[in-house]
Amino acid sequence: MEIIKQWIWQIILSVVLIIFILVRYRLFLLHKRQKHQLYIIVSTQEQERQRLAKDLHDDLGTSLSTLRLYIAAMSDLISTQNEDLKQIHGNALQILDTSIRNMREHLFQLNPKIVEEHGLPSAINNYMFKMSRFNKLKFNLHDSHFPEYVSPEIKINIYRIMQELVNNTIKYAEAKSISIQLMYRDKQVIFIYEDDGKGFDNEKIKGGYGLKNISTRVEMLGGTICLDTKPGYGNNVMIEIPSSNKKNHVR
Amino acid sequence: MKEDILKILVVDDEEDIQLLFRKKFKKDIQEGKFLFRFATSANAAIQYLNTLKEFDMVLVLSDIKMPGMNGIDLLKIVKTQYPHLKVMMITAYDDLKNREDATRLGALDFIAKPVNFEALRSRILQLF
Repeated sequence: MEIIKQWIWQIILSVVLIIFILVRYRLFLLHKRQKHQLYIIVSTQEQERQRLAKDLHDDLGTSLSTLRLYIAAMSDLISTQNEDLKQIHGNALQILDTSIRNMREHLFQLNPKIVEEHGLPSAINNYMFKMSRFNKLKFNLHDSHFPEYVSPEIKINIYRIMQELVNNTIKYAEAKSISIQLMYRDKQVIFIYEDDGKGFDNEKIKGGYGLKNISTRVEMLGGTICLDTKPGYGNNVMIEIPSSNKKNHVR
Repeated sequence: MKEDILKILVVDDEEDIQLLFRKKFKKDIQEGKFLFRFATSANAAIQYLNTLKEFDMVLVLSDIKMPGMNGIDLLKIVKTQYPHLKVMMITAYDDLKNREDATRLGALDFIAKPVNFEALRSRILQLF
């Protein structure tokens, strides 16, 4: 009787254990799939941005520039007496110029070619200059010998991460200043971001889209992220990315 | 040790010191045990301390030799304005005069450069 009881207990225990392992394995697979989906979303987003920028530039950009040439050429044909027509012409040209300027700005947001053409430090400086002008923020970039040979994938992703962090600071932090350090040490790209805003409770905000997007990008590059923030102490982020990682292929 | 996160200000003009602290204490930072803030000059450190609203920083680690105001002068100011705040000095030159001055002014400890982070970590955990 005792032996049968023991057997029953052993069987029950084994079944529970098997169920537990199966559930854990299922959760692991689910987590892996979600992570993979995030990778795909982020990398597709980047590809789509670049495709859209190219189409906009080649198609709408060219048409607008040609249109501007035609409208500008009209000015010689409008007689000086016809004030109304002159004003309409002037307005049209002004609207067209604003549209071209706006489109360039959108293109820049979609595909910051400046990262490739002038390097990451210049691109960050340029972005921060624009943002600080509109938002009364003090900004400081410290880049010590950041090498140009770091892969374009790392550079564009750091640029995107920087944009996300700056936007978060502006939206939520009420900060007075932002400081960024860009370094290259022991074949590692190191990006340190600090703001002196309100700070936040890391645990409460972990799932936020912005932070998820950032950590997905970091993971894609085989790097690590260390968030150091508390209410009242601003936000500090350190990202380390190995520059020779084979994972660095997603754009 | 209290359950609270230990908030520490590191003052050093050497740029890689900051990186070393961030790297060596990375696990503690991620686990929410330590929070580090950095200042690259004594002036910046004082300004930073003055901006803190709820003052619960517990420790300042300051280099002695810095351009502009040095660590000893910083120690004087910190001890006058925030007497409860503990201060440790980091120094590459173990100069007896500095050591005497700093001890007299209330510095808790001396940490030699290059910093032995394991020893520093244990010392901090022992203190708080």
